[in-house]
Amino acid sequence: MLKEGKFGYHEAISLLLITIAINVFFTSPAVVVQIVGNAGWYMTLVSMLTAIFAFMFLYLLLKRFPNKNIMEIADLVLGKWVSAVFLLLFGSFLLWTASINIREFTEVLKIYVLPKSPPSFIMILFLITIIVLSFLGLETIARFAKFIIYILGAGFVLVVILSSQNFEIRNLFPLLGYGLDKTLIHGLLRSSFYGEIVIIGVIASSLQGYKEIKRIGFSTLLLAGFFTSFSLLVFIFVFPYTVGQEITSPMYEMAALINYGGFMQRMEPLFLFLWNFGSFVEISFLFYASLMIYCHIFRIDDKRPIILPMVTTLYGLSLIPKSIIDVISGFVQTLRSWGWIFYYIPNVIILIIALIRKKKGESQNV
Amino acid sequence: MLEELKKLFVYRKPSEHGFRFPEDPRESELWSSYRGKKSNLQDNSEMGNNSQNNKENREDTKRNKRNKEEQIRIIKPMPINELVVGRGNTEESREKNKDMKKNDNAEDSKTEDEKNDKENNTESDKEGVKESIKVENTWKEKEHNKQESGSRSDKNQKKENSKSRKKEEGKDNNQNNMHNDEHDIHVSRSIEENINILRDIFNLPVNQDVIIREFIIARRIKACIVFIDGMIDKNIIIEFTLPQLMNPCALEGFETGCPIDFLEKNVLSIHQVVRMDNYKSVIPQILSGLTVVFIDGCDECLVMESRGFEKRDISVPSTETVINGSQEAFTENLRTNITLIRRIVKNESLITEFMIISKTNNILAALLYIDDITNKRIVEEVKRRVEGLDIDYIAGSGMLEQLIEDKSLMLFPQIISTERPDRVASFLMDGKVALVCEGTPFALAMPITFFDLFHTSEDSNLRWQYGTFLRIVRLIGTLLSLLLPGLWTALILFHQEMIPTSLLSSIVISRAPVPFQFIIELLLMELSFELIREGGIRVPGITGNTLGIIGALILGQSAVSAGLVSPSLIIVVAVTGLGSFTIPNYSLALAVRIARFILIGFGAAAGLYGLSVGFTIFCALALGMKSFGVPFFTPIAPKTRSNQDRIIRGPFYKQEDRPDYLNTRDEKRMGDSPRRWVKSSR
Repeated sequence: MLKEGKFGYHEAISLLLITIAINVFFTSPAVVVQIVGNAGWYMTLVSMLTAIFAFMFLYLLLKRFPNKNIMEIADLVLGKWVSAVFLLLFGSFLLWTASINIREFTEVLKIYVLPKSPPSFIMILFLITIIVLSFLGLETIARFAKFIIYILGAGFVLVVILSSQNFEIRNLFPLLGYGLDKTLIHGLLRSSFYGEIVIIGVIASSLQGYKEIKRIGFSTLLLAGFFTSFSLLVFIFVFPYTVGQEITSPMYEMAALINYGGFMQRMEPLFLFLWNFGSFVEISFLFYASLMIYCHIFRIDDKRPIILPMVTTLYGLSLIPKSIIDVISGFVQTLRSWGWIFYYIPNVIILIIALIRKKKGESQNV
Repeated sequence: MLEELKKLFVYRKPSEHGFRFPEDPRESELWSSYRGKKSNLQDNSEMGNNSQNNKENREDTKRNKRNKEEQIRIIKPMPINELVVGRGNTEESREKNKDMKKNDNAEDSKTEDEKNDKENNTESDKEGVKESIKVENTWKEKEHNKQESGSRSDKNQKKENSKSRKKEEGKDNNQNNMHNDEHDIHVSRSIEENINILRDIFNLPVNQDVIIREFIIARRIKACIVFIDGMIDKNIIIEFTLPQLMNPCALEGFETGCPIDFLEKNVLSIHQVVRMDNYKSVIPQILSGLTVVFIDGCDECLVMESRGFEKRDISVPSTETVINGSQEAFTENLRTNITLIRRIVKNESLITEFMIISKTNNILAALLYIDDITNKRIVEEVKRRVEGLDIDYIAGSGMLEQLIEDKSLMLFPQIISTERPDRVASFLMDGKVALVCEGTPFALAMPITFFDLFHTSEDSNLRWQYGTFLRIVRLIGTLLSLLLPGLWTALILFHQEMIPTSLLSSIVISRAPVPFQFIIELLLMELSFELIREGGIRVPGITGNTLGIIGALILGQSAVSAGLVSPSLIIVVAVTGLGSFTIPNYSLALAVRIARFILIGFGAAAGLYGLSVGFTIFCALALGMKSFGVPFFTPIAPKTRSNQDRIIRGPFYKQEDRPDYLNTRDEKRMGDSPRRWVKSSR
């Protein structure tokens, strides 16, 4: 099993927050507008509340088995073999999520920034970054997240402030979008947007106990909910819902519309950096989590020999979608709408089995 | 005349110089034991034969010389401060002597010795330094008594005892220590014997800068002084050593026995004199520029402080200049450098430990830390790394830095090298450890973070607003130096649509006559700039600066006129260069210069996206880096408690805590109300 260093509250929050909230920079806002009109900004709050509810089960599970991560808990509760199948499915799902995100990133980048570059070239550069970050380990990924969150935060605030010239408050109406019922149902289903929070279970051993995990989990979800809601609100302010659903990357377009005279215009380079850094953290973290699970299943102590084969697998998986249409309306949509089955349900099952079989970890106070 | 020149320049065998192997049976025995010890390294069985047969000795000369080289390698000069503080060492050696003499005079003085020992031990344990002087006096009295009775003792018995003692000690030690023990040669009572040993060790008379001056003390006792020409202050010998020792009245009041104690106390007016009894400790002192006096009939010698080699004066810092602050820089002399630090940190807890860091050139380094502040584990780790070196030659702190840093593959420095004593003092006060090394005017401090490399001593000397402003300027400079050429490449090659229209049109017009690809043009200019910079450093004095200015002006202007580069690129390269000059640490500036070229490559490959990839990789490498266990970007990533002293520098009186990541023994820099007058004036 891999031995990772410990990291603190700030690093963990930065890591999880970036992993969850960076999706708002991709195609998701346009899809949200397609589904619920201009009610997306509070639909996401419903999703956040659902995610908080789902996170409660994970927290209870981690509390029941202090100082253990989700893989160790699964081993204890389900037994070695069943746990291996369970974890293999979960790990594969995370790897698949990472591959979809890479492909989504590549396609959007190709449309806006590098139209002449082949997707494989863009992906290979991305994969090099993942390899470097994975070699350096989880601690470094967390530190990198902590380091760039200041840049991301400042950049985002700047883009929002500069975009305020294009705000149209009337775009907010009709306030209920396509109807409250639709908003609520999709809010529940799209709780998968916050699904990456469950990776906290995978990295639990690197955090300072279940109380800290509770703080980190709830704080991350609240912050991510606020950030996503605010981003969608700003997006709605700039683009009416009729236009918004046609745009591949609304946040990028928003930055491109900034114009304050001859030299203060076209601020998309600034946005591009935020986008890239955030994506590097998100996908590296997803990849590393699946690497940790894989290492746990097969009791591998040294991650280094398997980084390259797993990156190759990731590359292969990301080439599966035929086109950007497949990626956006097929894979990403499926992931956001049905990802909760993989994110939340396994934890609930493990918790129920643990309760039935009366399995419990050692108390922290011993 | 020719004969004279031949004498000087033509190599002659040692025997032709009058070098002889011992003839006298007593001398021969001592000699053989001495040479045999060296032969032991290769073959113990040959030792006995060597002592018996002079012819065989001659045949073995070559082998012995090789052994001698090995012997010299493991000889380590005693740290300078031990000449003052190191009485403890001589005490130890005296204790050894005592043991030996106890065996000789077991029957005569056993009870008395034990009594004295007990007294000495209890006194030294209880009273410390002052009491140790008493102990020394007691010991000297005791030694005087022994010397009187020692004349009656059996010398052979003594040698056997010492041999067996050394053998026993050797068993306990590791291989290196064993080698040391093999060369643990005791100073002989015979002056001739000592001279022979010295001649052999120093390869005399082939080696012509080691001087052995024989003379007679007060027309009564044979003696000699040994020193290396050029390493000593001749006045000490001419004015304060030889005249006093050769004065016919020098031994007035002295009766019989070994006069070493009498001479040390009454005759020699030298400020630092230490007694030593072993060549293992004597030889390094001679090599370090001290003068040693051997006296016939004494099994100890006097080591006198007489260093007087040429050294550079204290000058103004050349790589870390400041406007407001100290204008002193380190020199190549270790003692001067330590003094410069001690002048700033006048604290009894400032510890200076000396260590030999290379085996052949015996370079000395001083480890400095403040005992009450510094975390012991850091000190131990630094010591562990330095003591773990097994290198023949180290020229100074630059080499040492490379040998003890955490990861040599990393681009960024993990130990800070500074030429400013005030910076070292501030590092020490923070709880860091400093290493000052002979031979280079730089000191090393560790552990460090990025912010230590980014700060200057001027930041603290200026008011906080000015300090903060300078740091922000420096940060912008660093970022421009690192990113601007890469950004420019990305924009020109990939993202023209992102450049404002008016700027884009002027760039297009200026680039129109340039025949090269943009990336070639940029690399050409960057390379030219690096050439000018490197050339400016290597060309001496004012010519260097002139070369820089003329080179930049003429090259830039001519390149534009010739249509080889565009004016906009000249501006980019110039701003990049200016930015790199704002980086206060030379190693960090070099790292940024290298990183810049790599980022240009990334920018040329995939525009801003490629630049992001490159920047992320560099950031990740830097974030994963540690300096003696401290992450490079502490206290930001990972977050630790810290003062407002990263980019923005808060008021000085609010810098209350020492860096959290150092886990110092005393965490507070100042009291609860560092400006008590503020309260009192209200």
